[in-house]
Amino acid sequence: MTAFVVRRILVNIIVFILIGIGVFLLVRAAPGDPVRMMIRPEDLQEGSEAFIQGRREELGLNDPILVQYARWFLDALTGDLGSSFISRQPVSGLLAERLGPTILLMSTALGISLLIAIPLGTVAAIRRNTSVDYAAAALSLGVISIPSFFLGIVAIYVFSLQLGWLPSSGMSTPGGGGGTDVLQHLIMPAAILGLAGAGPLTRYVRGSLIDELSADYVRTAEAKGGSPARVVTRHALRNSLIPLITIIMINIPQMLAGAVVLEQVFAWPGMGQLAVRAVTQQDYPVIVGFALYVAALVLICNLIADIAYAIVDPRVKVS
Amino acid sequence: MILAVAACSDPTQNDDTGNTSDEGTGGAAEDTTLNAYLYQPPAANWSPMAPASGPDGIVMNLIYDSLLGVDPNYELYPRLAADLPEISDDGLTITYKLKEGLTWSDGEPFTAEDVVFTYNLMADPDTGSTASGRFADVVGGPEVAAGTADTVTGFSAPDEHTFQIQLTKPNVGLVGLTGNIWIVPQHVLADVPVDEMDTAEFFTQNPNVGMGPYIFQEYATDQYIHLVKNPAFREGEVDIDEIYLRPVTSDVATAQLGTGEMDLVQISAADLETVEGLDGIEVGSGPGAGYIRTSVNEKKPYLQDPRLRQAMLYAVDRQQLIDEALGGHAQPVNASFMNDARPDDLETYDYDPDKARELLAEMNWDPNQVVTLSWIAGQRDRDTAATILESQLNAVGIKLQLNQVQPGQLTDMMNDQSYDMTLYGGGNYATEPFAVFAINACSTHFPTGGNLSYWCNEEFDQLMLEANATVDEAGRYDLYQQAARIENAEVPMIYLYNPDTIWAHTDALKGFVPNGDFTNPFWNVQEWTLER
Repeated sequence: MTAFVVRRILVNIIVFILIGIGVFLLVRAAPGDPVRMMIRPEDLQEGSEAFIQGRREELGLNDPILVQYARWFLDALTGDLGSSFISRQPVSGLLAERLGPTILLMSTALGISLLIAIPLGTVAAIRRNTSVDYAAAALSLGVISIPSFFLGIVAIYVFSLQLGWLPSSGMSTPGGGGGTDVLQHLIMPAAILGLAGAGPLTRYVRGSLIDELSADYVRTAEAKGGSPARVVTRHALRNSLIPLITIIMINIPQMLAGAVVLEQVFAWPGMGQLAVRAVTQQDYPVIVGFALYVAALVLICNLIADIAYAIVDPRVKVS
Repeated sequence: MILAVAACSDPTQNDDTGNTSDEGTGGAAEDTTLNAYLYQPPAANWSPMAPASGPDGIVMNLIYDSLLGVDPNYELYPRLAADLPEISDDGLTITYKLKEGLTWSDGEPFTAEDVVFTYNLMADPDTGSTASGRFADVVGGPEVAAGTADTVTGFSAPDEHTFQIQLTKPNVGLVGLTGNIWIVPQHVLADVPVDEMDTAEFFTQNPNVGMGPYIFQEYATDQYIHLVKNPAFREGEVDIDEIYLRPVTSDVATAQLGTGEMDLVQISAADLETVEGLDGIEVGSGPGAGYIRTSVNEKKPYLQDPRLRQAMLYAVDRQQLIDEALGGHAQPVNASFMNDARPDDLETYDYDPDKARELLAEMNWDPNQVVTLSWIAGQRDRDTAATILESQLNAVGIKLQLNQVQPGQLTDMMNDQSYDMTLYGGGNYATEPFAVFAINACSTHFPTGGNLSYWCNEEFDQLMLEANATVDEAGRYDLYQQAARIENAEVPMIYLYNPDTIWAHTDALKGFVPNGDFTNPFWNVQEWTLER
């Protein structure tokens, strides 16, 4: 077991370094020039060139790309991911200050997804091909099809503008604050993300539970006289949730990468906004830092999934 | 005292709104708080030397102050200076007298040494300054720009309240182009090494000492910037206690105007109708400081004939474009010069496709020659402009093709001079006419300057330089008008329109005077009150 884990970790580290090299090179291969883009052409004047050359030199952009990478890599080993070209603030700080809001929003959304998907999927599976099932299908397909930014704007219109129940944006009332205040700001974006996530999850729960319900052990349990409720909750549902865990694990990195559009609609200070702005400004260190953050999440979640599987299924160790 | 100033009339606003101040929010709050919209999150580097960034500029206009300001008529007026500067007859000495008895927000006295310190930072590219070239005519300026000297000898403080600039040759435009530099505190920044100035904690984290009407309190990432009033402000404490600047999307900002969560928003012409339908919201606007245009790359042999560019102007119905894309909230442009520098007798290039065809026939334009227009898509008015250009130029026999590009691609195309035409906009030509030099002179071809048409006219350059060296105002503006006539006739770029900047605000906000410069809505914030 230990050998398996160690091997997986070593492989992951190598993959991580390769991803770092790939992103580092790709970002610099994109058209444009981050320093030149800092000054709009109509603002160029004598002296702009001095700034551009000085800044290129300072940011090390005039060095051969391998030198740039080596310098970045050695710094990264000490935890220094460089500074944003634009704001000149450390990349690790920029990522860290958005991590909390992102985790808060995404974990709440995930919780809401599960609270909707598990009961709804279960009912749909048990009452297969009844009106309840069709309603659940319509609902989940509906939230999958409607873009979340649209739901967001509609929700702002209804709950903030018309009813005045909830604040329309931000993570806290300026100057106000406190737990309830954050909660009020959290409700709309988390509910919309949660609803959007519940769509596919409901389908997974339903499908997986239907498979389990037709399994032999369920028939055995029923034959032994277990009540239908007990058979479903104690036996079938438990087993049907195992594939769900895999799906959630795969989704976590994607969720923690931020929900760009919804963050913008609700002015939520999350990862997505940072990443998009960095891309449009060609802020190389921030783009690379963000990509590595996502890569690390993917690798860690996969590692956890692998280890979990190894624990559940001893045969994995052999391969 | 504040009321007396607030009484200055504002022609764009009616005072017939009556008494609506009884719609109080019910809170017993004594503090008045203004929530204002930022059109995008700030770069969060509040350094006057940092590359221009609109949202950060709005913040810096509130926390810092400058020798001179620009009013909504684009006229200079004194702020930290006691008056507009005096320029010696030979044009070689510019003298600012500073207001006396002013202190920084932390209580330290403000002196001319702070101004000398700040101007030295601006003149030194090592601080991250993008504007060092502005001081090329200042004694010792080029040496600092080149890194062979540490301080500009031409900046001096003969006494505590006098700041003087010595020039090697007359440069009147320097006043308009540098008078609005935000002054930063020497006593806070003196120990920061020059080459670490752009990453100084003061600028990136906590610029909490300034001369402006407000003091920086906090930036909650991507959510809001919190400012509180500065008791030491030169005109006395302002009335509104706190300001929150909040970056949200324009849709949300418009919605928040309706809920009362937002008090002041810059809106697009497209949202105007919606906003005007809201209760308790007033709207005001002013002409912008720059304009939207299309540069025509004269490095391409087939784009060099001025008759082609004249034909393009005649071929485009710019009034229709303004009506369609901006609901009429813009003015057609026929030269880069604005206000007093623009003569009344310019050719207006009114829509006349027949005349365009005539000009094209006269110059034997090849109707099979494809011309490509590259622009960064995503702004509604510009996208509409591009499609109208396409259809109307094709209608007169110019094969225009549209090419949407990414910002990075356009930068590369500019570096390679590979574009035919490019659509963009901005700049500030409304206050200082010499600003036009940077986009039109032979010596300011991209990348040295912003001349993206690579147009070159020696006579134009001569007139501009002479104007900038002429201390006498009437004589100077006469020269600028002559230059404007040449530009207007040669059409170095396809002038499109000068868009209005439109503001919407709660009617509880009194004293707001809309400024066409969208980075400076708070120019007269000391005259504002919030009555709710």
